[in-house]
Parts: sequence; C-alpha cells; structure tokens
Amino acid sequence: MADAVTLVLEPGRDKMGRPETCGTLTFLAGQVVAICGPTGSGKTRLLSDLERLSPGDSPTARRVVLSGVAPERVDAGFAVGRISQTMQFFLDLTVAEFVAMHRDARGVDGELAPESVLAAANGLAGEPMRADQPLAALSGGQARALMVADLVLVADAPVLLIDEIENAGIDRHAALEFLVRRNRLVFLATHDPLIALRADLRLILGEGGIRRVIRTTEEERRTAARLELADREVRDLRERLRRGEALA
Amino acid sequence: MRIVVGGTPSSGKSRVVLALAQAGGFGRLGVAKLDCVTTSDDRLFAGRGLPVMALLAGRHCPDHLLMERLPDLEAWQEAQGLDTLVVETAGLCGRCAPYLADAVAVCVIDCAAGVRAPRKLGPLLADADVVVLSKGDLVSQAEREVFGAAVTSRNPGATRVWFDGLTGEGGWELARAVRARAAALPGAGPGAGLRTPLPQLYCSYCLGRSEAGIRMM
Repeated sequence: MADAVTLVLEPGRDKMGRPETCGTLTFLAGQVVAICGPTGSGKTRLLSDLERLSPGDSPTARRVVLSGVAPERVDAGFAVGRISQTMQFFLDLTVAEFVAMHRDARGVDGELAPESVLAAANGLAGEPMRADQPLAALSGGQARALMVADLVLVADAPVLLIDEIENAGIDRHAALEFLVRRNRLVFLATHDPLIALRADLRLILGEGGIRRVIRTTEEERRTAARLELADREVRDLRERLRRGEALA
Repeated sequence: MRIVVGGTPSSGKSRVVLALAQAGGFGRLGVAKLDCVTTSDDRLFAGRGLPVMALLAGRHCPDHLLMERLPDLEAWQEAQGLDTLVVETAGLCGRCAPYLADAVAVCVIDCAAGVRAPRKLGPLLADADVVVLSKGDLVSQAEREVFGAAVTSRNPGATRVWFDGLTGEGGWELARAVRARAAALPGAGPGAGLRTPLPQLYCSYCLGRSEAGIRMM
C-alpha cells in the first residue's frame, strides 16, 4: 500500500439547503483529520460522502474525488475503508469464515491467515474471541476490535474513515496507533478532545454542513499533552476497576 | 426501452423504480406494477406523476400473470406514448424469474438477507443484467463487501450497484448501469419472451388440489 493519495472535497449544502462556504478542501496522504460537531450535525453523513466518493447525488450534493490510487481499486470500492458506529455484526458466519471471505472478496493474498487478524483484534479487546465463534455473538467491544483489525489487515485501504472510536469499548489509544500508520489519510469523527487534538486539522460541522476548518495549533498540542496525563490516570483506574481492585 | 425489476420482498424495488424515474434519461417513463396479494405502490408512483398500471396475481403466479398480460402492457405502453416501460414484479419464488429477453433485467436484493441468500436465489439473481444491493447502511462495510462477493459469484457478468432507497444514494450509478445495459441488449423486439422458461407442466396442486402426500412421481 504505497499509494500517495490526494482527496478533494467540493462543498455541497447543509440540511437547510444553504451552500457550504468552506471552499474546495484538499487532503493528502499521511494527514489525520478530525470531524467534530454536535450529534446530528452531519458527521456520519460526511463520512458516507467520503466513503462513496460521492458524485453529487447524496443529500449534501458534495463531490469527492480521489486521485493517486489505481483506478481498478477505486472502481472496486476498495480505496476507502470505513468503520461505522455499528457495534454488531449481522452476517451468519463465524469469525474465521468472515475474515477468510472478506480476504477473498478483497482479492487479498491467501497468505493472510484469519488467526493473525484474530490475534490483532484480541490485542484491542478485553475478553479474547475465538475463531469458531459466531460473529453475531460477539460483544460490542469484541465486534469493534475485529472491525478495526479487519480494516487494517484485510481492507488495508489508503483512506480510512472511523466513526467515534471512543464509543467502542476497546482500547482507543491502541486502536488509533494501529490505524494511523503508513502514510494513510485518516478521517475520525469524534467527540473526544484527545482524539481530535491528535489530528492535524479538524472540520467543525453544524446543521449538516462544514462550518469551519481549524488547524491544530502548538498551544493546542500542549493542551493535548496535559490531557494525555489525565487520561492515563483514568485508564489506569479503569483497569483497576475491571480487576476488582480498590480505587483509593 | 423496457426494464423489468424483480427482487426479494421488501428489498426496495419500488425505490429503485423511483430512482430511475428521478435520474432522468429515460424519456417518458411509466410503471406497470405486478403484485401478489395487495399493492399500494401504484399510489406511490402516481403521486410522483408517473403513469401507472397495477395488476394483482391473486391465486396465480405473478410471473405467469406477466406473460399472460404482456401484450396488454405493450399496448398500454404504446397508448401512453411511453419511451420507457418499467415492469416491477413480485415474481419471487426462487424457481423462476420474470426477465424478458429484450428488457433490461434488474434484480434487487437487500444486504440484511444474509450471506447465504444469493446462493438460494435462482435465475432471479443469476440472469439479471444489473444487481442492486440495498439497505447497505444496516451492516458494516466489511460485511457489504463479503455480501457483494457472494452476489458476484452467482452472477459475475452483472453490473453491481449499491443503492440506498432512503436517501437515493447510488441512483445515478443505477440509472447509468441500466442505460448501458439497454444499449448492449440484443435488439430482440417485442414478443421475444422470457429468458428462463417457467415450469413446463401444470400439476394437480396448480389446479387447486390441497391434500398433502399425493405422490405422482
């Protein structure tokens, strides 16, 4: 996956039909972009436009053009990988069957063993899942962990879209480190300031439209460093809570 | 042009027809809706200003009804001055398909049907020119890809289109695929018949017998 992608987003309109005033936005490989805004402000809608490389027929009428990726890959729909807010699988398959079928659907090398995807997923979730477990029986956290591992190891797309990883019940730091790698262009819809400040820039949405584009400043990065310390303490307490230890 | 839209129940066939009408490029478009028991879709289409004709199969097979009444549909298309006739039909038993040799065959199947569903469908899926996958928003992207591959393995030659009936997304790709397939159809002309023959015999059950366990074979 050595594609050096460029993604161009041409503005559309918000829920009231007013044109977006952000102008044409260009995103490059290696960038991390946060998508922020209140619930219902259009974050998921924006991710859907990006996933489809929308030609302008969605309710927002935005146009998305991706270049720097082999056209066959774009035509097959394999250039953009996405994890939605879904916390549950639907298909009647076991974990191993699902990974093998997805690998074959993507035309990925048969060398990639379902076990390695499973191992990566288990590194992100609490209770380990087994290869012969039905997908539909996974917990929300396990399902999300499998989706993340599958996205990176099987889909391995140059553009990744992640919807609210903080709600997943998985180790979001480990998941982020796993996702944001290797010159990918990553979009993260989030309500979490720590995740948003990990990004190079953030898009602020309101009433379905992109309202502002903010570049992360040096001062904000200092805020992030401070938050990181507080967050580490919370994580440590959470682990102790899970182990049944005293939190004094 | 003629288009036949078939598919599993509640997969979004009527939304597919509306998306075609909305996308444009089909001239004056009218809809013939064939259903089994009841239908309300004729009002849906009429409400969008489309000429519509509704037929109910009742106790009969809807595919059989289509073949019996096809001359009526063709006369209606002529009388209404329609450039494009879309036949939306509830032919759905898995044994048959309502596809005509000279009409673009569109199969609608929803992602929530399960990954084994494509293997259970007969010519409805296998003989289609365009396969529309609906309700993709209900499952993850990875599951959509697995489902899409299962569909393609049953009909590798079809054009596959993802379509969201609620938002209309995918409508443009759908219309483009149907137009391209129409241009590539052999010009068989009216009366060219079905792509896949219906069952070749009437049996006593077809004729109204209802007792179980009567063996004739």
